[in-house]
Amino acid sequence: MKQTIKRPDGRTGGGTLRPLASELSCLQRPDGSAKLSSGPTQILAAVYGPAAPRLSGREVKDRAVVSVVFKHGSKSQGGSSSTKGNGNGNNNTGAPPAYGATERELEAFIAESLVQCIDVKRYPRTVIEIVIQVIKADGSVVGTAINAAVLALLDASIHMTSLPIACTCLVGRGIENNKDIRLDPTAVEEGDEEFSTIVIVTNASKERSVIASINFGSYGLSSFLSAIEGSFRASKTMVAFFRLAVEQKVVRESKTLWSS
Amino acid sequence: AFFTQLCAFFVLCDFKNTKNAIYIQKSTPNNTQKQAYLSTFTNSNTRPTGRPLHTTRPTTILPSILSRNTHGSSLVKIGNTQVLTGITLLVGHPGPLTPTHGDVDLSINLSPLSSQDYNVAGRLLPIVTEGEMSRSRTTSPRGYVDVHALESLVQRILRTSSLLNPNELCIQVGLSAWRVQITCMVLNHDGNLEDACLLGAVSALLDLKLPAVKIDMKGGGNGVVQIVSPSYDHEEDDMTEETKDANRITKLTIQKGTIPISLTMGIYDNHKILVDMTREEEVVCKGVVTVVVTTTGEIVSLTKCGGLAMSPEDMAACVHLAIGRAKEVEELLLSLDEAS
Repeated sequence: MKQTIKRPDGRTGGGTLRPLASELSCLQRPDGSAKLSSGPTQILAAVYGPAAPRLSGREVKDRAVVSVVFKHGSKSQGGSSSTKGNGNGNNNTGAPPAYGATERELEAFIAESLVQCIDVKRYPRTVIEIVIQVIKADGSVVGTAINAAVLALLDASIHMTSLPIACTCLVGRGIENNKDIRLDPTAVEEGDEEFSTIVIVTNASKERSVIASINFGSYGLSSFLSAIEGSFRASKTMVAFFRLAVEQKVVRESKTLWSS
Repeated sequence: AFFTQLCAFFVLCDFKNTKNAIYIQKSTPNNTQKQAYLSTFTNSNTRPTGRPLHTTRPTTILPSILSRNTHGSSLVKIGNTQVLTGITLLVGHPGPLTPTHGDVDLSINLSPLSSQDYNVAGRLLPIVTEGEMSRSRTTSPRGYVDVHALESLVQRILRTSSLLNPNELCIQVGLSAWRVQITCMVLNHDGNLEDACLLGAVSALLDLKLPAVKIDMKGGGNGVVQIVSPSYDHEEDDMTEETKDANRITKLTIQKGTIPISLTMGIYDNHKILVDMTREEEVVCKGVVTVVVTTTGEIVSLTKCGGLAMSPEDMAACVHLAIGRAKEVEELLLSLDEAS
């Protein structure tokens, strides 16, 4: 990744992530909650569970069921009513946050990535519900949503077998495109016709292992492999950030005699 | 299939349940038994039907199968999985930023016809089976597909690939354009719906014949777009200019190397990759990768929806398998195109 690329939001270098900020336990009702910001993109995730399912038909006798609800913000365009991933008439400055995928598809994708890493056998006959709300979308929405969900799961003290970290990469569109990859794109960069977005979820607990991947726009195999390498590197930064976030929460809670 | 030998059916009337529902309870082998059965075959790199791990089932495409009410159609069979696709056309208003663009809409129909796990509305039935995981919206065992997620995936693939040039769907610049409605009806669900639905949609698009239109200005305003039905009665010389125009139907121009073709593979124990899974294999697989490529090697979509983690080398191997598949399917599609 070249260090000399100038990005539209002022960053230099393809491998530079936007400043991360998080707030754990920001909501009182859910068992775990986290608000994660990656630059201007802000996602709120809440975890309810493990709890008894509302319909007894939903429970599985030997493991927990993980269900995800994903909501776009009111101003962002959800749904597939656009051609070629371009926005409706109003939005010229970037791709719609869902890149044309419906909420259902993203919910299925996020749930499948997370269920791989939660210790579901520990919580039989329960439901773990993860609710993700996009507060502000400015690129890398799906990746940040998965990371916010992971933070919320950590906040809810749900046992995990491994730590999934999502990373959004921007690669050149089409097979001949040899543009350098960029991490953590903004909405403007994602909307550019010359680029495609790949979201890769890697297992930070194990070397070189990819849990899930989804993409919006076509690319070549070599771009894909470079994107995977970039995600491995970025996940190390994210793990360090997660550690900081959880440590701060633990320190804060230990200072109060009874935490709510 | 091999599991039916181990099955016994009995109907259970359960009046304790408030809805007085009647459950059909199958005494089928549970997940661990199914896995043990499949493992005995995959350990020798084969499957219960004798098919090698990296081979797809025989694929048949029958275009123009519904010629009366649709403008394009096809029947796709991958092994026992069958999907019938029909295309109907509507006239729509193009968006202000793209005055020459038409649109493509896709919907997929699953019903009790496809498999006993779906109800009439196309939703998964909560069937209680002994020792099996019950179906829920997520973390359902593979093979219990969420229709909306599948629709969204196939629609995105059609829109982002360069197969369809939306400018070809224009009727009047800025005023009207074709809205292509693709409906896939799953006739039989024996695994690998992703491949079958995408192939059905693509072959129906290749078969699509856009009719000639006439703009009727009598209604006032911008005029009403009318489809002119071709007339087959007259001889070539007798036809007037107008009827000649009507017989001019246009097909979409398809370039070699732009057709998106998918290959769905399951990840099984010991990182074995099972290409083109049947229904029974889908249920026990621990993860699925769907790769959509064109014959030029361009990856249109790569979706690995959770499941066992893979190394980048395994993923590259999946892409190569998909490119091989793309070459054989594109040959088949283009030969059908020339034949028609």
